[in-house]
Amino acid sequence: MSQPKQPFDGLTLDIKHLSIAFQTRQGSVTVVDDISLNIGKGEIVGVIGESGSGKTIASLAVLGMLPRGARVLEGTVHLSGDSLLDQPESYQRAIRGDRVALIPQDALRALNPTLQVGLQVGEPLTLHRGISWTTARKKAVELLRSVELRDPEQRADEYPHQFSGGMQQRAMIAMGLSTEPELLIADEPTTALDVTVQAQVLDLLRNIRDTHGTSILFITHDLGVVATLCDRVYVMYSGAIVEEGPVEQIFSNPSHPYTRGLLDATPRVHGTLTGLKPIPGQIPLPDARPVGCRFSDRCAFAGAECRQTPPAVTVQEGHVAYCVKALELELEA
Amino acid sequence: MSTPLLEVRSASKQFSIGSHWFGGTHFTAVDTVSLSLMPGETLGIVGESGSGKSTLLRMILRLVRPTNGNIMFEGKDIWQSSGSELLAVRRRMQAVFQDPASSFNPRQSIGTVLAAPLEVHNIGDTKSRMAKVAETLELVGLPPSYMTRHPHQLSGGQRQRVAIARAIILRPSLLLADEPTSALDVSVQAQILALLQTINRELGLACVFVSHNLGVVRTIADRVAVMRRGEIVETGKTQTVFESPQHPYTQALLAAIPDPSRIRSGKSLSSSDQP
Repeated sequence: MSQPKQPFDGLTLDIKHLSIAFQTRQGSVTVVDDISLNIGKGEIVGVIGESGSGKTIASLAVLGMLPRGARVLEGTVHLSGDSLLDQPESYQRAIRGDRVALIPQDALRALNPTLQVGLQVGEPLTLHRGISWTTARKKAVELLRSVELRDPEQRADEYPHQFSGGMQQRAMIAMGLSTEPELLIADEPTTALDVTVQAQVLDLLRNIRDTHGTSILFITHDLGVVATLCDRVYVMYSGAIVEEGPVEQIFSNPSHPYTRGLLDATPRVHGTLTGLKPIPGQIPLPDARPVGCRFSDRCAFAGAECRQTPPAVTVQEGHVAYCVKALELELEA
Repeated sequence: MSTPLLEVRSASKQFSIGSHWFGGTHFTAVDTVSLSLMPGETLGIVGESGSGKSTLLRMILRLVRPTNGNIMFEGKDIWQSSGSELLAVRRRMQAVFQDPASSFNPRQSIGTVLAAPLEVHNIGDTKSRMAKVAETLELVGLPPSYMTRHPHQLSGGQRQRVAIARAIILRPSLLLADEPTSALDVSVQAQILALLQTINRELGLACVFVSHNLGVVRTIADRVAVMRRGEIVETGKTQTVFESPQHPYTQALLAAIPDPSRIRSGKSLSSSDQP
């Protein structure tokens, strides 16, 4: 099979100008609007957004798993130089679970309740490496050990309901790692977990990156998790990326009013207690976005110039905010 | 000092597991918990899943009968009350739950939902009830025109505002909130917390606020109780508990929370602590 290649520039994932729309009775509704995002080898990249920001849909496009009714309007997605869009289903099936693995939010729902965990963890190997179920089962024990599950031999013979939430998520991660993928997509993998268990899972993901050089796309609404784990971050709002840059930059010098609003609205546990500042209003529906900057109707700094499509303003090397006033805001801070 | 509004006296709850005949065992969800709440005070109860925080709240709400101990509200044991006395207790004690979508009848308009408590307690006539509904909607930051809408036409944040309106329409003295912002986005959560703070202050409401989110509890509570495996391991003024936690569990819990102001310095408990 000949695959369209782009010159490989060391990027594990390269999304360019991706737009995705849902077909509804009222017409086409754009839920992901011209986003570009990339992940280098061994990089952990966070995508932050509230519900309805389009973060999950964008990641499903990478996996070729868009729900019915959703369509890629334009853009390209490359995995280590290989195009992933406009490929036959057989090609995408060969990629999924082999070169790209997904760690979902709800591990219990993703696991088969009637199948022993060991078999499920080894299953990608039987599908993608053609090894026998017996060998895969043995490999699964090693994988479960590598994600620091205690008593992996016994645990491999148990069923998902016998696992705690944290153990289920460890099993999902073990399954994702089985084929040593280039890219792990983690969609809110710790949202359902208690904070102490969450901290363990985040440690595990960091170790995986350090030992295997796996690239990780980490989707979350939790700014604290991003600050702890990620190297770079993209902030999404209402289908578009509004700010991107290294984690230190985004948190120490947020240059888009939405990013700043999110930080001010997050209750803190450490440091001095500053009152929360809520962002007024709510996220616009995809078919009712304001003209120009889509955050303008909730933004305290908005003016007439915000009715134009916001420009990409480089705040610092690698730190870009899509806001006309990004540099003025920086001066005020 | 005045008398406490709410007093939980050595309350325990055991659930039985398995059959009585074949040697079933007991699981202690809440283990000899005592706490008290003064009028107008907000108490935060934090803990991870399985810590017993929701069971404790349900005992106070008279939804789960304590195995041992008493729940005293305005000086009376709520489990000894019945009939009109109980109705009076219910009027003074209202609740807001986590999932606003599942706490409404989808076929009822917001106006009907909000008028229901007034009807149950025989307050006013149809006209004065509607006026009260409109007034309460404005209090929670919604236009009175929302009376004609149905729950599915509202966003999650708006539904939670309606849930709060329903809880305060009877002007209770105690509000019990079980993870009221966990299903909401951060920006909406901040709006709802601000609303709760305003309402508690303006109406002089006392509040028991149960949450797994320590940041949220720190924002809203005057005092905080940390629960673990059915017991309160630490309690005190919010500021004191957060700034100098005494119990190792509170310390571990606080250290495990990723914070936007502490970039890539997250520490975790040892992985040997797997349940």
